[in-house]
Amino acid sequence: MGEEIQAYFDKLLTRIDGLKAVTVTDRDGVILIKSVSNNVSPRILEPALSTTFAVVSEQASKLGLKKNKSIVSLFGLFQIVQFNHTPLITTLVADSDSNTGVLLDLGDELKDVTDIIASALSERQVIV
Amino acid sequence: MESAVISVLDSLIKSEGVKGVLIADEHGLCLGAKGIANPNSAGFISAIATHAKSLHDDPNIQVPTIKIETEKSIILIQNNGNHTLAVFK
Repeated sequence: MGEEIQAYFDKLLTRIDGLKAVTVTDRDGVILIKSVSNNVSPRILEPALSTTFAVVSEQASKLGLKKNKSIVSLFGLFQIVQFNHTPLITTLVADSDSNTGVLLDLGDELKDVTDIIASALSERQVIV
Repeated sequence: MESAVISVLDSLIKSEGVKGVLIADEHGLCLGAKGIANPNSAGFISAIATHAKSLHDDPNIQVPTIKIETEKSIILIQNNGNHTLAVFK
């Protein structure tokens, strides 16, 4: 089953123009699933990406607008779209001129997948 | 700040046969939507427009208008570089 999920994430890179990397991590930055495009250095995935997002998302949830769902960060070369799929964090790294709207819609689609992973994780903890 | 955009959308939706209208920016983010147009579809609509534009390399060719026919309605999409406009009829 793990290979199917990995293959699904690998396929995402070909589906969307400019998408360079997708990761699913927990709030401490531990990588559960990672898919990186061949034509980009794997070093674009900093461990700090997830941990920083976890902190900022928590702060953003205190703005009085209910829980933070996603944050888009636009840089010169790249854009990073991150989703708060508690207890997991989904990170999408794409070219700065990629379609941000499509990436945000992708996050809603990925929520179903991360929910499955999260429930599998919580089952494991019960067994232990 | 967005009153100019809203007034344009209002005048469009009052046109005959128009059931919905949506305008998206160059990042695929929704600037405004009225009627049956779903704001969440802004990303896909602008992606359709950009992909259709790349079908032709010739810069002399006019920007294409994409027409999507479904059982219930027709969606007309056009992108002029900065914005993508979708009209649902």
